[in-house]
Formats: sequence, C-alpha cells, structure tokens
Amino acid sequence: MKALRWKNQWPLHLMIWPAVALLFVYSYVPIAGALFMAFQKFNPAKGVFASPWVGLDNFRYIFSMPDMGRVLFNTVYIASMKIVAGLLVPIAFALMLNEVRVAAVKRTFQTLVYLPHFLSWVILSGILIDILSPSEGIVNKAIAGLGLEPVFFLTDNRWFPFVLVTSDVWKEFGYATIIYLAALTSINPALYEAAEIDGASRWKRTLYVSLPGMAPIIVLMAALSLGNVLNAGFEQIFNLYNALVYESGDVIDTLVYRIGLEQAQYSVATAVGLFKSLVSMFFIVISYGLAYRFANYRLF
Amino acid sequence: MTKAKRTWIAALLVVALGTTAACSDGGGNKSEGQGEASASASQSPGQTGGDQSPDAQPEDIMAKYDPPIEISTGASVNPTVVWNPGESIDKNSVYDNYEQELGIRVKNKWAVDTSQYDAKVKITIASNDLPDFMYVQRADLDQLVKSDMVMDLTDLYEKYATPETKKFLTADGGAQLDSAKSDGKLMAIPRTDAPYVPAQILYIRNDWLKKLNLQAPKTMQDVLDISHAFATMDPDGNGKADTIGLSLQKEILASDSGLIGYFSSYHAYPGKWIKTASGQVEYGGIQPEVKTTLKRLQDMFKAGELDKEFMVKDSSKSAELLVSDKAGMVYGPFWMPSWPLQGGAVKDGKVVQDWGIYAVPSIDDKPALQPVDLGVTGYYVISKKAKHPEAVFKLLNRWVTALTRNDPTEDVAKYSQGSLKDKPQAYYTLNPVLVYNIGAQLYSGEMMPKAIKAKDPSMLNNENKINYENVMKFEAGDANQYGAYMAFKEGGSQPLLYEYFQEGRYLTNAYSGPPTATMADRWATLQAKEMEVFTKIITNGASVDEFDKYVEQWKTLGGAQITQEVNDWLQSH
Repeated sequence: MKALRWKNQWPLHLMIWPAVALLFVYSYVPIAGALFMAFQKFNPAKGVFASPWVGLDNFRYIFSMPDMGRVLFNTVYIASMKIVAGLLVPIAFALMLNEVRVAAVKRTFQTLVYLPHFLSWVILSGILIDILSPSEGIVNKAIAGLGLEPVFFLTDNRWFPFVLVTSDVWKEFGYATIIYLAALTSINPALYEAAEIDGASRWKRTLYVSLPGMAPIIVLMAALSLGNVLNAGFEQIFNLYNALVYESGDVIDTLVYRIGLEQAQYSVATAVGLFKSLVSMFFIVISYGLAYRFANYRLF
Repeated sequence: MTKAKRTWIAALLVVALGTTAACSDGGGNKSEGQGEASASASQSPGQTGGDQSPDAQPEDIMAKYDPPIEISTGASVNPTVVWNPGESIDKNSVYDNYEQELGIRVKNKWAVDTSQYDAKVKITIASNDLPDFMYVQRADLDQLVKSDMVMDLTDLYEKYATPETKKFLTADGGAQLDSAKSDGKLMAIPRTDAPYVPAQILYIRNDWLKKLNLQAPKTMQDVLDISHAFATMDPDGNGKADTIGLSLQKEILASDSGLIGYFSSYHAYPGKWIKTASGQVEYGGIQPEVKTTLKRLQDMFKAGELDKEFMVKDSSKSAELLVSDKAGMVYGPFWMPSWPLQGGAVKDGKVVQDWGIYAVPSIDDKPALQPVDLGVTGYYVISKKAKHPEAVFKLLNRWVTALTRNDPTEDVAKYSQGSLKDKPQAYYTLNPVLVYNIGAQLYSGEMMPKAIKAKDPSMLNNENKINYENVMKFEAGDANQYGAYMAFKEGGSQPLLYEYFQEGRYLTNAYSGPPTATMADRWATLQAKEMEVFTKIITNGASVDEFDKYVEQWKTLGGAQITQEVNDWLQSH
C-alpha cells in the first residue's frame, strides 16, 4: 500500500525538493548569520565567526533611541490598519465581481484593478504627490468643488497614515482579489442551485454559500498577514514621507534605513530585523492557534 | 475539506512561504558571496606590477598590459546618460579606450542607479566581497581601514602615480590627499574636486524684474522685496495670482534649490561646523542667526512667496515651477543653467526666459559667505585582494592627462564626453576613476570671459577649449548651448565663483575629520530632528520659538558630546 502510494507520488516529491533546497540555501543559512550578527559588533573583514560578541547591547541601543516609542507605535498602527483594510477590501470586491455575469466586463474590471500592483512605489509616489497636491491635485479640486478647504494629505500628521493605508490598498487589492476569486470558482455550483431552489436571494446566497466557501482561504490569508504586523511598508513610506510627517510616518524600517545603511551600523540593523521576525513569528503562531480553535482550520 | 480545495491551499502555501522567505532576508544581507571571496583570497595579493618586471630597466609606468588584464569595480549608473546604440554601462567607448590604450579591461562587478550606490557599497562591505577597487564615502573608508580590508597605497602611490597626477592630487596644498591617510599611511585615493562646486548662486528672472520695474538686488532686503513683488504683482502677466517668489525643495540644505545661500545672507550656516568667537568649533545649525533666518522664511511662507507644497517635492519636482514660469527665483550651484533652467529657458531653439546670475547678497554690511567643504567628495579604495592594484593608478594617470593636457588632442572627447560630443549629458560619469582639479571652476571663471572677449581660445587648456566652442555655438545661434553660455560668459556662474574667491567669500567647514563615536550613533537622529523642526517652522506649523527648544534637545540628544569630540579631534590633529 505504502509502496503503491510512493509509486504514485514520486514525481510530486521530485518537484518539491528544488524549492526546499532553494529555501534552505537562501533563507535558512543566512538566518544563522543574522542570529549571530545581532549579538555582535560586526566587522566585515572578520566575518560573523570572529567578530566580537556584545550580548544584548544592540537591542539596548535600539530601545534607548529617543524616538523609538513613537516609531514602534507608528509601525504597529499603520501595519494593522493595512492588514485589516487589505483583507476586507479584496473580499468585498471579489464577492461583487462574482456577481457580475457578463464575462467581458468581469475580466476588464479585474485587469484594471490589478494593474497598479505592477507599478513601483517610486513611480506611484510621483503620481500620488501630483493627484493629492493641495493646489493642483484632482482630489483637492473635488474637495474645493464641495466648498471645503484644501487638505494637505502628505504633510498633515492626521492625514498621512490614512493616505498610506488607502494608497496601499488601492495598489494591492486587485491583486489580492485574484486569490478570492479563485476560491469562489472552487465552490460547487450545486450548492448555489440548491439555495436558489430553496428561495435564497442573491444576497442570501452570498452570505450562506459564497462566504462560507471562502472561509478557509480568508482564515489562511488573515493568519499569514498577521506576520506583517511590524511591516508597515518601507518602500512606500520612504518615497512618500517628508520631515513634516516623521511624527506619524516614521516606522521601524525607515529608522533602520537611516541608522543601519546611511550610518553603516550593520549589527543594529540586523538586531532590528531579528526583533521584527520574532514578533512576527509570535503573531503567526497565535493566529494559527486561533484559527484552529474558532474556525477548526488546520494546514498541517 | 475536498481534495481539490486541499491541493489548492497547499499550492497557495508554497507561494506564500516563498514570498515570506524572500522578504525575510532583507534584514541580514551578508554571507552571500563568501565562497567567491575566499577563492580569490588564495591568490597572492602582492604588489608586483602584473606582467612587468620591476627590477629590470626603469619601468614605463604607463606601459600597456599585454595580454590585457581585467580589474573589477562597482558602477554607479547616472540615469541621465544617453547611450549610443549598442552601448551600456558594461560596454562603452570610455571602457573601450582604456582597453585599447592601457590593456585594462574594466569589469563591473555590479552596477546600480546613482541614488542606490551608497547603500550598495555598504552591502558590499558587509558581505566582505569587494571588487578590486571602488568609490566609497568617508564613513565607509574609516570602516574599511578599521576592518583591514583595503590596501595601503603609500608605496604604490609613490611608484605608480605620475608627477603630473601627484601635482594634481596635492594642488590644494595637500589637505585633500591627507584626508585619505590613516596613521600616516595612504589608504585611498581622494576624489578631489573643487570645494566651490556646491557654492550657491542666486538666479533671478531678469525679464520679470524688467516687467515690474524693479532693480537688480544689492542687499538681502532687495531680494525679499523682489520675492514679494513676484508673488503679488503678476509678473507673467496672465491675470492670475499663480506665481511665487522663491522655488525650493524638501531637502532645504541641498545645494540645488536648497537654502544654503539664503541662510548665508543672515550669516547662518546649518549643516556646517564653524569657529566661533571663543575659538571653539560649534555646529552652525544651532546658532541664533538660524532662528532669524527661519523667522524670515516663515514670513515668506505665510505671504505665499514660497511653494506651499515644497515639503513633498524633490529637486526635479520643484524644478517644474521654474521651467513652467511659476517661480522667478532659485538658489543653486553654478551648473543650474544647464539643468534645470535650460529646460524652461530654451523652447523650439529660442531663448524665452531671461535668467540673471547674482552673487548672494547680505542683510547687513558684512558680506555673505558661502560655506564650502574640503572638496573631497569621496574616496577610491583598493581591495587587499586586488591582483593589479597599480592598474587603478594607470587609469588615474590617464584620466588626469586627459583633463590637463594642453596640446590639442581628442582626449577630453574620448574620456570626458565619450563618443557623444554633441550630447555629453553626464557621460564623464562612465569613467571608473574621476578626480577633478581643485581650481577648475576658478580657472575657467578667470580665463573663459577673457578668451570669449578676445575671441581667442589659444590661452585656454584643453577642457575649456571645448567649452569655448560651445559658447561660440551659442553666440552663433545654437540655443542648445544655453547652459554653457550662462556658465562661462562674462558675469556668468563660473566667473562669479572666481569673484567669490577673489573677495574671500568662502567659509570652509571647520571639521572635515571622520565621524566621531557619538556622531556614528546619533547623527542620523539629530539630522532628522533638524529637518523636522526647520521645516515645521518654515511652513508655519510651529512657532519660531520652537527653535530654542530644539537647540536644548539637540544638546542633550548627543550634540553637546559630539561638539566636545569634534573639538578634541581638532586639538589632536
């Protein structure tokens, strides 16, 4: 029996090994170095094996930095808003798109919304600066049309996090939608037919057939995204922020860029990376446990 | 769960894991390339001159390698370079010339966009995988020396630098070359440059002045009045209040479209170390004059004389205001007429905007000084593992000859402008080793107007003969040479730098040593704080008294300690 299974499955095993090897070489081997470096005063010529050990000094240094509290708060705040919005919007959009019956319209919409995903933040930030500009931008022209004062989206600390979250969702929701659409197509059409015969309206069908059918994917995506609770998005913030919004926009990654790369303090940067990974792992483990408990959902 | 669904999730998980894994090594980017590095380490790092035999007859230090050798470097790719068909950063006429003349094949171990170069260098250092030679910043040099990763160049310099090159590198009296020494040993080749390159000049639209019946500015008060008039009196005559006085960018202490010149009018020098009356060296950004200047800027911002959105604009975005007739004034270095001003001034082969070039005026009877640094923009280091370190000196010697030779050869065209004689945008940046003459701007500032007036290029050196030709082209009607014309004409931007020099209007940064211990820890934080507070005050987001709080904070956050360390360093050197 076992031998038979192996006979059937060996091509699959063969296919997964290159991926495992790649992961090991490029992701797990460097982890060893990163672990050491975070507790050392790293000297590139000596390498990770001969650099002097400094214990927890790098971590003490990070948390003694004057702005660290503000930076930590910003990171968690921006990242969690992005996680929530980045989860809800694609689900809603996928459900709506699923109700569109004209295939051409559906495909057109889908293509249009996932296009921004392929633009880099360097380009998008230029576009955003233009469309959010208080004097020339189209958004503020609309606001002025309603008789309101122009809003300084990119230089006002009250608005900046909102802009970050909205623009991030705008860029990524189309792409995330693909996954949920795929999940929807795997729902057995017989369920819809049965519900229709039972007299369920479109809304009820969405509520009692589509959503439960998507639930495992939703839970999985939520569990995975919780690992990003300290990833507020370096590239986006780095390209959009300015001195006036350090207060609400400076996050761990931008701070580390200034300290680690501009000032060449590699060990400090690594220590922050390790700290972020630990927190992320903690959240993934927790969310996975919760998913099992409340949604009876397991991967392994 | 259906089987189909399970397979589906499994596939998704593989994708997700792949993505997280790819992200997770962003933090610790080393250990890559370790193997390669140790392989080349086994080669002897000796200083023998390649295929030459140093003990035989007196050696020709510029002899061609036969067969050709290869040396590696890291390239910074200037995004404005216009490539000829078939050319790239790895294969172009400059590299070809070096290979043909010297038998040196320059190989780029990596090539990144200019804006990412410094970060790439730091990653290269962290991974201990240096190319044979590369260009680094001051802080990197210190780290490389401390980590014992780069070669001591003292003997190589003595042996392989031509007398001409030595003269070139010590033209300032030796301070530039000394800055590359550590314990008396030469650890790098300084990329010398004239310290005057970033010095700011005030550019004002003369056609707007004429239209509003205003005089050229003599004092800073005149500048403020002009700015006010530009913002309120509709200088472009379109009936709309859509113009501002002064254009600036978010990096307020940048050389192009920054405010260094504006600050200097009030004798304030943020970003520089200055000698105070007490003889101590102090940081310019916390002096009381800065507060006065910020107050003026705040007034201008409130009056609508500054771009309401400068805080989010980099220099190219803020340049749009100048090009599109929205702003009539800007502070910038001598090369500003070429970029961005030419973009607005020249339309369809005609000059349509009239920019004036003015010395930065002072608010009182003391002249406004332009703060400048040592004039070394960075350093070329040679890896300990390099097999042909002397080849770097050959490249250097060749480049120096190309720059300074007086007889009419094609050198400048070959090495400075490549095969792109008619559109030489940034083409010189292809050279793997770039050094400049300390007095290049002063020389052309003094000589070019004379030559143009006398219509006689024979008094000029080779480099300036090409500039002369470009000015002649402009005078013959080729508006595309506007930048060259504005830089070299009488009263142009380079003659102005020479005028600053004659009048003693440069103020040298009092500290050009390595980052001190506390600086390495705190400088990034202090600079961020400075930008935040200055920008807030200028944009009227904070009262000008916030400056006093900032000064206190600056001192307690490490500034006082840094000041102490800077003074200690200066005492001991």
